[in-house]
Amino acid sequence: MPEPCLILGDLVAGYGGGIVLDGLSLTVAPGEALALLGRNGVGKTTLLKTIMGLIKPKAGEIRFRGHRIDGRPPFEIARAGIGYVPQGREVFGALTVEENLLLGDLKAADAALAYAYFPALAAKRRDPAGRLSGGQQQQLAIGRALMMRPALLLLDEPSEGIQPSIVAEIAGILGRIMRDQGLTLLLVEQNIAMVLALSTRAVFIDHGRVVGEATAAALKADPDLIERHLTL
Amino acid sequence: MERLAISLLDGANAVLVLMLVSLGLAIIFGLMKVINMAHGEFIMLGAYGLLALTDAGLSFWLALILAPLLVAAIGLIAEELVIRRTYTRLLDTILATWGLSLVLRQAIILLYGPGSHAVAAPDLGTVALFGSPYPAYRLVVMALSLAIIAGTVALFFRSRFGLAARAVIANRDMAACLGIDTRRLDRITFAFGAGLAGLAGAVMAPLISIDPAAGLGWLVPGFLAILVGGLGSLGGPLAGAAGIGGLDSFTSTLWSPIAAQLVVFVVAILIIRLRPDGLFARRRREA
Amino acid sequence: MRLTMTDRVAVAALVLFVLLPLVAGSGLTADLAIYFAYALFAVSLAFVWGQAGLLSLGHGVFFGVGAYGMSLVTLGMIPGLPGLHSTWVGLVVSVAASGLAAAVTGVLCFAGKGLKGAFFGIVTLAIAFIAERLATSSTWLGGLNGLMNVPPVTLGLNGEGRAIFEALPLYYISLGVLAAVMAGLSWLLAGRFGTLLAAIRDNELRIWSLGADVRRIKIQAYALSGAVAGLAGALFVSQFGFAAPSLIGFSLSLDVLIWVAIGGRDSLIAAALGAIAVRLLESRLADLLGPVWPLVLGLLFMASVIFFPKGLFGSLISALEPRGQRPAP
Repeated sequence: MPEPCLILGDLVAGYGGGIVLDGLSLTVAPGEALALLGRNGVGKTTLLKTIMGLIKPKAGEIRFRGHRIDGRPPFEIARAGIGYVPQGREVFGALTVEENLLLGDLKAADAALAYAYFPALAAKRRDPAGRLSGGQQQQLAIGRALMMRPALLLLDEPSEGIQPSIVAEIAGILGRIMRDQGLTLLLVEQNIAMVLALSTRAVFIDHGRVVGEATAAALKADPDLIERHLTL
Repeated sequence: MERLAISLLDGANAVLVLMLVSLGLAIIFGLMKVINMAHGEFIMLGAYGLLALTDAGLSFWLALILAPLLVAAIGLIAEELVIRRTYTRLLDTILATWGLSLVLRQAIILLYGPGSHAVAAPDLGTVALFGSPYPAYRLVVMALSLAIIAGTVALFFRSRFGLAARAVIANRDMAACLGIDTRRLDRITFAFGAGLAGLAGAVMAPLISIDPAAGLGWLVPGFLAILVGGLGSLGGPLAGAAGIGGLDSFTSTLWSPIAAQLVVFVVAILIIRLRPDGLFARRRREA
Repeated sequence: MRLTMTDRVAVAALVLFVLLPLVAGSGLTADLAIYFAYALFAVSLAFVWGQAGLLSLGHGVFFGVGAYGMSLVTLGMIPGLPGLHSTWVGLVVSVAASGLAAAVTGVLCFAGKGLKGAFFGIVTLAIAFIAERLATSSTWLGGLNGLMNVPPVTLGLNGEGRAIFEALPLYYISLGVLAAVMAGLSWLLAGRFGTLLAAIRDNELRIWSLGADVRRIKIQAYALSGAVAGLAGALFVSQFGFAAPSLIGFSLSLDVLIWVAIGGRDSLIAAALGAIAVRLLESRLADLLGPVWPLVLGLLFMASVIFFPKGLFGSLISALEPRGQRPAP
């Protein structure tokens, strides 16, 4: 039994005085693509931010590849091997595409690794990232995280604001990256097509906890499963 | 005619040094969102540092290199002891650095007394410009300032370090998520800003009256330059410094130093009033 | 009417100071009379900083304008009115002039989007810097030496009648003015104006829902603060006897900031006590420590900003507060 990539144990976290995650436990196996499903506001983004160290958990623990990372600053967690592609992409608009990519690995000679998976970016390497389309920015954000050579990639609503054909293209590329690099994925998504294309498993989150799970196969077989779970 | 040329040169001198000052302030504010009210004192520490080192027997040029390094070290200590503890509360950072400025000023007074001192410029002779002898040292000051400014800009836009700094300025959290140690960058940046100020002070030392209260005379124009020029890029503060410094020099020669201060201030306030983000402010979010 | 802990501390302090001259020597009484003027100045800063969140780094300007205004009138130096010596007119002129100066500053600074809080402070500092230079170079204002032999408070309508220069009456006049103004400001803060100021200080977004013009309120608060500072300046100069550029500039601005930071910015009484305490401490320690004293004061200031953001007296009031209540001004 390979060691889990990520273990969340009874995580309690929130903003200011409030509680969003209320005793959330989760295990992510290496190499799997796990989708986090749930209505808006149940804590999916909060969960990713807490793993990344942007929010300090009030209780519980987070173990990445066997080591505790809760309470550590984000830059250490990033360096430990977790990449983050946040909601809204958050590319550095004033910096060029190439500069954005190099930020993932300041010691790299060039951004060839990212261009290998996202050739469209190579053509635009000197353009300011702010001028890219939504789909291209998404590719940039993923490419940037990829430059860090992470073991685990956190993606927050990657398909938001992007047309379906690009979504499919990105899903395909992500799948390739997963296979090539042995990457583990933790994906927050509302877009069912993206979920079905990419994930091997899904968990349902409600009121700050995991309330159910399903395999990809079960999801494909029963498209209403997600609807039912979310409206419960 | 020669008088005009000399005035222009002196003015250029003042502008370049103000640029150094504004650059340091802008970098510290841009990266750390810290308003360093002690910047004027860092400048004076550079001047006093040069004084102390030359008094101790070091050659002028060696002292010129060491003094800014000393000030950078003091900046590093200040960052660790003072800034670090208050920078989450913006207004309190102003107070803390204002307190630091007071403490540094008093420390200087304790060591050197409240009066002014002077340090002699190295004897480089004069250069004939426009038919008049112009002190060669002043030309060296200008060249040095220009070189440092150019070097800083290059560091920011050409180096990986500068890239990391620009990322942190744009979006601190995201930069941290990419593995950039923002804390270390803060320390280096503050020390660098302090060092720039120290350099400005050291280089200007033979040309000014070195007294403990002189720092304020640089702090206010420095900040006005940033407010007028706008943040968001390095160009803004530099342009602002050029404008403020130029106007100050011009009015000072034409009228009097006190009139110059008034004019500069009124013009600056009007500009800030009309363009609250500064004249050359970069639009932040382009994504 | 329920009294907050802050009110109770203020009343206790008032009682203490009313009774103090019974045991204090005339030296201390005379000193305190002047310190009450400083305390009033500190109150003006706490009003605008602690309550409205406007950090004025150059507040000395208004104190100085008040001081010079009072001096010019009582010395009969108003151009065209050589016969005017009245203390009362002097007071009105000081308050009006400083209030006006503050209002103008406010109009210039709180424009449209307004100067962000931090930079507002720097602009006020620049103003103080320039004001000091102007005062130093103005022959009318006495240049570097300032105006000397400023007459004391004189009860008559125009400079005749009983002049007050004994310690005890000055003490009670000063204390009376301080207490009255503090009471007035507290009353103002307890009402709608105070709520609006708090909303501006904490989060300007909320204030739109209260239906108020943020800019106008800021200008009003700043003008009021300037007027109070001017009154403090007038009170000061009629005891101290001369007005100098140092009263209008940067070093007094820094001093008052230190008093309020050390005393406590969140309540008027904490700021007032801060000013009195620091001045008392200084009068005892300055001789002892000599040139080291300003350094010690600077360190105290920094320490209080870093470790006691509520100030010493502010922290004390908080500590005395029964659990669950927030200290009010």
